[in-house]
Amino acid sequence: MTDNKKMDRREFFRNGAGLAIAASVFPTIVPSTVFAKSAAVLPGNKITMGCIGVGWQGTSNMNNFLKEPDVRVVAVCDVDKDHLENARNLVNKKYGNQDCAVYHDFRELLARDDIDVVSLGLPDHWHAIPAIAAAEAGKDIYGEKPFSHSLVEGRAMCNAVKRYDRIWQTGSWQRSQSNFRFGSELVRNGRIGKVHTVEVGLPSGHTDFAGTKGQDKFTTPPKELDYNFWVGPAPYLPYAKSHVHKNWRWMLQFGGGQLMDWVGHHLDIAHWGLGLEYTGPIEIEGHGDYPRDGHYDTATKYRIHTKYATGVEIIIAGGYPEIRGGTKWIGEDGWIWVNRGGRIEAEPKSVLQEKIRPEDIHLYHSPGHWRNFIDCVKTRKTAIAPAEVAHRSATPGHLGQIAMLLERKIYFNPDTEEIIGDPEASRMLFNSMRAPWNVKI
Amino acid sequence: MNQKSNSRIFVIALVCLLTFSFINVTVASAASQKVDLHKIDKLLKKIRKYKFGDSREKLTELSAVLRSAGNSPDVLLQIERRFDNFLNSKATFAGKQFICHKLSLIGSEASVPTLSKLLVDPKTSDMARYALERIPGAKVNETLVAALSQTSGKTRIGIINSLGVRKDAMAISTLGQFVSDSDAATATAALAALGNIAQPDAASILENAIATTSGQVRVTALASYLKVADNLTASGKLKDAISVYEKLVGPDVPASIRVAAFRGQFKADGDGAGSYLLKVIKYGDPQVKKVAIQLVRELPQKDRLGQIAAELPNLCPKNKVQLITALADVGDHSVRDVVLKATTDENKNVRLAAIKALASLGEVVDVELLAKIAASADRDESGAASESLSLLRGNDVDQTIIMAIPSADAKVKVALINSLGARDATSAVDNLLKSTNDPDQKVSKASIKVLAELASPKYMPQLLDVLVNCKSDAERNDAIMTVTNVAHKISDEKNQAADVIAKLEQVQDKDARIALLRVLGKVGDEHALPILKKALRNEDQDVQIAAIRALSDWPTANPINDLLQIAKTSTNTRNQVLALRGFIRLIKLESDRPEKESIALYQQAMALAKNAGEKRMVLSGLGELRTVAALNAAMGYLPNDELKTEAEMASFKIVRRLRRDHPKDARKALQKIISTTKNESLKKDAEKELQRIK
Repeated sequence: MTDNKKMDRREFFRNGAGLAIAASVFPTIVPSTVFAKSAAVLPGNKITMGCIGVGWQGTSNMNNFLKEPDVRVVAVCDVDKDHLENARNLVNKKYGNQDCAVYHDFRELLARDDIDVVSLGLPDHWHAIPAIAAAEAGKDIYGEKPFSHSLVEGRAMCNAVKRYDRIWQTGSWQRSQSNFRFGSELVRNGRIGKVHTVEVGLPSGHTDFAGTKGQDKFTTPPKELDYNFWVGPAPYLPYAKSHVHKNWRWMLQFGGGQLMDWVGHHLDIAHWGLGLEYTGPIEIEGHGDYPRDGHYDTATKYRIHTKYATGVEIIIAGGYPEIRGGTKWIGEDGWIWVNRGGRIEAEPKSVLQEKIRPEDIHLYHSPGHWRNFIDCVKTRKTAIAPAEVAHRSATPGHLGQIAMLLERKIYFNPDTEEIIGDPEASRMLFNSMRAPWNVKI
Repeated sequence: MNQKSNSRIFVIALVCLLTFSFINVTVASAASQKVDLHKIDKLLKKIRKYKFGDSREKLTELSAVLRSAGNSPDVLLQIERRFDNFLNSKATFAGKQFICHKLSLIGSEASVPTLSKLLVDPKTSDMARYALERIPGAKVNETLVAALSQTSGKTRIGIINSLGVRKDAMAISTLGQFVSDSDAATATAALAALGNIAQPDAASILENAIATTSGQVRVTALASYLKVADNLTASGKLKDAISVYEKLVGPDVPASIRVAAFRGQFKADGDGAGSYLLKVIKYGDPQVKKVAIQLVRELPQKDRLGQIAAELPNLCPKNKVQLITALADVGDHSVRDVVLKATTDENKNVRLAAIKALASLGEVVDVELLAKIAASADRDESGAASESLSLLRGNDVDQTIIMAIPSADAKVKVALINSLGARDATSAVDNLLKSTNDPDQKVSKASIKVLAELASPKYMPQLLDVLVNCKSDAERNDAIMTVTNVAHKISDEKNQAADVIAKLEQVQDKDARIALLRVLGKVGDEHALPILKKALRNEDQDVQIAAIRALSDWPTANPINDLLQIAKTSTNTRNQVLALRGFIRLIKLESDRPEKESIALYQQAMALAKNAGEKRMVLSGLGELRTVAALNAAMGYLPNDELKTEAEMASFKIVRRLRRDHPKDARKALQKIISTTKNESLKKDAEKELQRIK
């Protein structure tokens, strides 16, 4: 073996060579401005974590992991220095030291052999590349919903997670809440008879999460943000404040609007109750109100009708008051509705007095979403929201988006994951990437 | 040529032109819709000047026209020609990028010549690839390959990526030329593209790269080689696949690749998978061993499961936990004995995993063991055992638990009784009624509680007997809840308290009567209201208090005036305070009452409140409203030091509900809160809320 071969990945990146070389799959990256410290000696038996993307949701997830006694967050990474600084301070404050390493480039963090798991809190257009790279680097992964930015990317992510035998947990945390599980178990065990329809009510509009809506003027990006890196694989667009943090989700090139933001929650629960977690719809049609002008171009109001091979129809809607927010399964003998805040309702009401008996189907019981991930990292058990399930939860969203954009019904084969008889729609299953970024299919 | 001739030619030309235009500008799509090509031309003219940030109206309009074109190849070709012309024009970058996106959806090989020009220009290469990657046909691949020699750096890497995305097997040898490129980024891109293509033809190139490169380039070569093997497995060439996997499990291969190769080998190994897994679990390195254990769940045949389970004692605690969890997921009872032994392992995590595994692997004979652990002092193990006991499957499990109760010690009895509740073991009701008389109060209380879940209304007489015969307040409180719960199961919702009322007529014991009154309040059957109102006038103060409490528990606001009357007139402080609290609670209940009436009721309550506790309850209730009047009422208490904190919280809660409809009032209230509050957290939240209104 040559000396080069003995060089570990971390060393490889640190001496600079790795930065250039890795850019085939990944772009030539900004020289390491990074201040990575060598990892402090850790108390044994802790799961070491790196958090990639520590803005809004990423920090929220990180804070949840910081509460777990057997997790040690050792590094954070973001292309926004303000986010990075804030996250580092949170970690250091929690542990009472100055040991948290910071990275500008996720590839450097992934190159650390002493990191067991990563938490990804990134915009949708950045979901696939770091996830696949993390799997390839042997890390277990906590990732956000929607699982992917396109159906093909999602399949590639599933393949990578499977190929490298990684534990994956998606941020579809409703699965770890008792009311959602109980509702799903009641449905799964036939307590409302055969389900013929499910109504999935999602939010509508473009919520101004960042308070930047309307700040569309193109300007020089702020110095704390490496905007080119932030845009990454998406088609290039000049910087405007309204495009980035939190509100990126209202632009199709970065996110998928309320539909994709929520499909990994309430539709995911719909699938769970029906046992359709490993398949997808066969027919999809819908209508979306896409703004004709302005920077935000995701649908503000939408209604998608999907049919599955079992005959069940799932309606996904945002902005239609008759479709109540949450998940409502409607069966031959009644209905069950679940939503956040522990809410569960049913007709007849007596359904809710039912118990799930030992011989019934018992769905996965998680002690807490973030806790479940860590437990599974240790036991190697599949997590409650694994990659394949998350991919299948995102699928009706991706297909619904295509059907709405084309304003026509599409037919889908969930086994081969191909759209049938519509070449134009088929082409929309995958997004090309700006060079030098690329996804390993 | 004279002027007349000129005119004639002009007319003929005009006619021809119009005829030609007519033929060409309106074409029918497959959906029999007319596609207005003139409109497309007009829009393209506008889009030619489109810059990022301009109005998207024209882009949206073009998209709409394209949608109406449907799938007809003839129509699409005519549109495509127009797009080609557009891309060859001096249109803006943003305009061209948009049209390339449209071509990516409808384009054909006819666009390739135009796109190939954009492809080799670093400024426009990405947008050309966006289109080309999605256009089918060998011509696209040829163009991409040809462009490699005309480009360099990032542009060329993009093209290499596109060949990978298109899985172009014909490009393997060309890509092979770049795997040893002096630019490491290019070499890695080529190797990754070969991984995407994943054809056996790339094997020798990849093997050579693995042998001659280092660092990330080598890792990419290894990962791509792995994908070749996976592809061989998928196409049924298992022997070939295994021979590749075998090359990827060596010590000089990074652990993640080794793990994946091991997995691949396992999946391709068919009949030999079990013995292979066993070997790795016995002798493998820690990384691979961990994955081998994980793969126990995917064993195609279970014949090796026993041998694998037998390895459990030889593993480290971490691996033991992993193997036990995997065995539990497999759910094959043949390995139960091994898991059973692990419940006494010296490592607590191992014990816990084994106890949990008994939920799926355990049998009826394990009831006793699980009950004992459930009764043990260790909370984790106790909890795990209770869970397993509640999930244990088998026809005889419920009966075995019931039979075990009488002879068990008190703690174990409690565990067994609780498990019956969790198991919905309705056959246990008669036995549980007996154990409500158990001399140990923990046992009797547990029985009473579980009866709430298991007993049906037909047991109401026995449950009422239990209630009136309770030996302690603690038991009685549980019995009140149990009787209430079972009464609510009565399908005739208007007569749920009939048995309770009848019992009240028979019972003389004061404590029992008080307990029955409490049940009446919680059940909320209208037939009970006169009884409770009468009890308010009972000469015994304890009975009065029970009646006030019962009315305070009433599920609707019906008795609100009775409570208000007592709150206003009672000379007994305790009665007055209890009635006032009940009154405030009933105002909060859902009703059709207009909000201004609720505000008036709260103001009455505030006037009657003599201490801070009740005043705070009033403010908490006000905070649930959503009108400007409610906001003003809550804000009115801000100057009161004693109530300031609750007034701020209530006002803030109301503001959040009405800010959309009443932004001015909301803003004013928030500004007031921000300027006066000493609660930093509330101040921050109020500032955020104010930001939203602005």
